[in-house]
Amino acid sequence: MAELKNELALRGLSKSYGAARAVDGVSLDIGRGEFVTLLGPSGSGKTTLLMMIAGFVEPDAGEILLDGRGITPLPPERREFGMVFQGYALFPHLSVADNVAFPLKVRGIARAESERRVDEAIQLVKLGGLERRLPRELSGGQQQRVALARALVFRPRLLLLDEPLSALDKKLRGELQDELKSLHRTVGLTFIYVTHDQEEALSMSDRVAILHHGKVVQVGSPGELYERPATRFVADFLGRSNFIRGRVASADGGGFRYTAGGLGFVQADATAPAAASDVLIALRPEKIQIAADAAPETANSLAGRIERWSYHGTSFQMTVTTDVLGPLQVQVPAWRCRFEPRDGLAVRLGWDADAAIRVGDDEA
Amino acid sequence: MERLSTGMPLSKSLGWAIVLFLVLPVTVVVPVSLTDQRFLSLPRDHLSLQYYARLFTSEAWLSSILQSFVIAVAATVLAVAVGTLAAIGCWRINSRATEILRVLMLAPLIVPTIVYALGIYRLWISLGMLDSYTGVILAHGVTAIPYVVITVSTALANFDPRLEQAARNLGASVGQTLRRVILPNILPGVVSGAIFAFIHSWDELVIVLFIASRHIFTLPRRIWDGINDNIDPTMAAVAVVLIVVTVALLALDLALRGRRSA
Amino acid sequence: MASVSAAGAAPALPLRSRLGTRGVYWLFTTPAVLLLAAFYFYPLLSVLWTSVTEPKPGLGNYALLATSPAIQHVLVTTARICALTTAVTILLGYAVAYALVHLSPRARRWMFLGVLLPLWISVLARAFAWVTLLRTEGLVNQLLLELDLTREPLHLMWNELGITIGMIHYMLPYAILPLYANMRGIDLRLVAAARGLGATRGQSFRHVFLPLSLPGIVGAGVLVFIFSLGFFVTPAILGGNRVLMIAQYISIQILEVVRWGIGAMMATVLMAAVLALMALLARIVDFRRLFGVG
Repeated sequence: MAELKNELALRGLSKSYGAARAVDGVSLDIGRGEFVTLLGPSGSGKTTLLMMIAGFVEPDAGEILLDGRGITPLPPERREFGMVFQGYALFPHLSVADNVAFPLKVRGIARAESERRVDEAIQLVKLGGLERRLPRELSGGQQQRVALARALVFRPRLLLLDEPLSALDKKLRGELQDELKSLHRTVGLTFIYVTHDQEEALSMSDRVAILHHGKVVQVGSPGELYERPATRFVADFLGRSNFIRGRVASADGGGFRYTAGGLGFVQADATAPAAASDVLIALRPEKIQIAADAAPETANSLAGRIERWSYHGTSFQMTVTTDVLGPLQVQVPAWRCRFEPRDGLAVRLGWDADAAIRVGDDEA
Repeated sequence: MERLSTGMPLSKSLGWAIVLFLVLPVTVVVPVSLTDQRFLSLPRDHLSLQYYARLFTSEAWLSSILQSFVIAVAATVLAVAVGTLAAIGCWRINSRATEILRVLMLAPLIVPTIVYALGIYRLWISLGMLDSYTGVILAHGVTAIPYVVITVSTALANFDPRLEQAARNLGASVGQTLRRVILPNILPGVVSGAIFAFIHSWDELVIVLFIASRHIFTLPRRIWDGINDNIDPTMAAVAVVLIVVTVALLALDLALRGRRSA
Repeated sequence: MASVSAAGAAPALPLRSRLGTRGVYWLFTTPAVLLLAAFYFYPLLSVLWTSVTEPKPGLGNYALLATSPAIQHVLVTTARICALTTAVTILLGYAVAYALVHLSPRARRWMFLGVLLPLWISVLARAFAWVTLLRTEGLVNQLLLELDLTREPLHLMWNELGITIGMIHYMLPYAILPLYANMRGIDLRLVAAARGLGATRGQSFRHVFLPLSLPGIVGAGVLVFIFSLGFFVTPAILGGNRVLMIAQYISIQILEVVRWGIGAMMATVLMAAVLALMALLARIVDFRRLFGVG
C-alpha cells in the first residue's frame, strides 16, 4: 500500500556545475495522480530537477525511486515518462501524426494499433483534421497540444511538463491552463509541472514545491503556501508582502506581543517564540484595513500618510508612509474604500492579530 | 537544457582522428625539410638547415618569391578596392538586381579555374599580354574579388544601415560617409578580404601555368616544376615556408577578428 | 582606379543631383562589374565560342563525346574518382561535423582550427606532403617495410588511389563547413526529446538527427562533387600522367598538343556540368548561407 501513497520519491538529489550547486539535497514525495508544480525563479534549479527526473541529467548524489524501486541509473528512454518540453521540441521534419506516432514507432508497436492510439491521442487534445500538417504550419497553442498528445500516446507512467505555456500569450495561456487541468482529471496521471509563473502554479496545482537556490523551501497546497508562507522568500515570491521586523515582548499560548519602531503589536501564533527574540512578520497588502476618519477596529493600528496611489479597476494600490514602520503597501477593493484617495492624505491603518504571519528570514 | 549530458566519447574520438588525418600529413614536411640526407627523407643522423640555406641563397627561388609577392600585393590591392566598393554598393542598394550581381561576383569561386585559364590565355594572346606582370595581376585580381565581396558583405551584414542614414542626415556627403562612417566600421572585414585575396594569388598555379612562361615564374610555378622534374628536399623547405606564411596570415586575421569582437 | 576614387570623393552635390543616392551607389559597383565583364566573363564566353568554331564552325568537337573512346575514358575516370571522393569525404566530414556540434566550445575551437588550417595551406604544399608520404620510396612505404608489414613497396600514388587520398584530404574542410552549418541549426533538444519519448541513442539518431541533417549532406555532397570535377593540381601531381582527369586533359589539349577546339569543348562540358549541379544545389540550400554572405 505504501506505493500507492508515494509513487515517485526523490531522495537527497544534488547536482553541481563547477562551483554552482544547481540542485542541493532535494527530497520530495509525489503521490499517484497528483498535480505537483515545481515553482521558482530562473536559476532556482527547477528545470535541472525535472531533467534529473526525466533522466537527462545524472545526479551527483541522491536517488530517484518509482514505486519504491530505484530508477536513478535508467537512461531516459527506459523510464517511460512522458515529457512536454519547453518550446515543445516537435520534430520539424515529421507531420503531426508522425510526431505523435514517434514514441510508438520506436517501441515497435504494430501499425494498426499505433494508428488507433495516435488517433485517440489526437482526439484527446482536440486536433482532429490537422494530422498531416507540419509543426511549423501550426499555431503556438496547437503545437503545445501536439506535444501533449505525443507525450501521452504511449501511456507513460507520469507526465513531466517543462514550462509548457511560457511561449504563449496571456489569454491563450489562461485557456490552456483550464484545459491542462481538465486533461489531468481525465487521464488521471501524475503531472509534474515546472514553471516560474506563480499564478499558473497557484491556479493549477494540487501541491506546489517552491525552489530557491537549488533547495525546496516549502511544499504545500496553493492555499497553504499563500496563507502560511514559511519564509520571507515564499511570502515575497507568491504574491506581495510587507515585512515588519520586531522583537518579542511577551508570549502566551495563542500568540505574542512584539515591538517594532517603538510601538507594540500583537500577533497570533500557535508556537510562540522565546521572549526577546527577533521576529519577522509578513503582512499582505490586502489584509490591511484603511480608513480616513476613525481608526479601524483591529488589534493593531497605526497612523500614516498616503505617499502614492493608483487605481486598478477592482482595487486601489496605495503606498502609505508611517512614522513607525516606514512605507507599507496597502490594497483596498475599490467598492470598500470609503474615501477618495489623494496624495498626502492622513489615514489610519489596522490589521487583526491573525491577518499577518511570522516567517523565517531566509533573505538575510 | 544546454546542460543535457551528451557524453558520446566514440563519435568525438572519431572526429579527432579525422582531424588528425587533416593536419598530420601536412606537418610531415617539417622534419623532411630538416633532413641531413641528399634525398627526400626523414633526418637520419642530425637535423640540418642546409636546404633552407640553399633556398635562401638560390637566385631562382628568391626571384620567384619576390615575383609572387609583388603580384600578390598588386592583385590584392586591385581586388580589395574594387570588391569593397562593389560590396558596399550592393549592400546599400539591396535590390533584386544587386542580389544577382552578388551571385555573379562569386562566379570565380564556382567555375573551375581551368576553364577560366583557357579563356584568359586566349584573351592575353590576342592582346599580347602573355607573360607580363599586368596580365597575371589582372587575372589574379579579378579572381580574388569574390573573397573580398564575401568578407566585406559579412561585415556589412552586422553594420546598422541607419548609421549610414544618420551620417547623411547630419550632412556628410556620400564620400565622407564612406570614409568616416562605413569604412572604419567594416575595416576588419576588408582586412580579412585582403588576407584571403593575398593567399589566393600567392598560391595560384593553374592560371599562371597558362599565361606565364619565362619572364614571370611565380613560386607555385617553380614548386610545380620542382615536383614534376626533380624531387629535392629544398622543396620541403619551400613547403614549410609557404605553410608558415599562411599560418601567420591566418593568425593575423584571427587576432583582428578577436579584437573586433572584444 | 583613379576614376573609382573620383566617384566616391567627387563633389557630392552635382553628382547626387544627376544620379540620386542610389545612382551613386550603383557607381560603386561599376569598377567590379567592368573588370569582371572584360577579364572574367568575356574570356569564359570566348571559351564557349572557341568550342564551336575551332578547327571549323559547327558541333564537330561535341560529336567527339559520342565517338572518341579516349575522351569517354577521361569522363568516366573523372566521374568515378569524383564520386568516390565525394562519398568518402562526406562520410568523414559528417563524423567531424557531428563531433563539432557536440563538443564543448573550447574543444570545438581547437577542432575548428584543425579543420580551417589545411583549407588555407597551399594546395601545392599539401600535394607535396602527400608525395613525400606516398611515393614508392616514401615515408609510408619505409614505415611499412621496416615494420615488415609488406615485402614490396606498395603503389600508393600515380594511380587512382593516390589521387583519391589527396582529393579527400583537400575536400574535407569544404564538406565539414556546410555540414556543420546545417547541424548547428538542428535543435539538439529534439534528440533529447526523442530519448524522453522512448527512443534509444541509435533510434533518435536515425529517426531525428539524420533526417534533419539530410539537407546538409546533399548540399555538402554536391559542393564537394563540383569542386572535385574541375580539380587540377592534386590529381596532376598524385596521378602523374598515368591517370587523366578532365582538368588535366584540357591542359594537355591546350598546352601540349594545341588542339584548341577539343580543349575548349571539354572546358565547356566541365563548366556546364558544374553550373547545372550548382543550380540544383541552389534549389536545395540557401546559397548565401553556404558562402557566408549576408
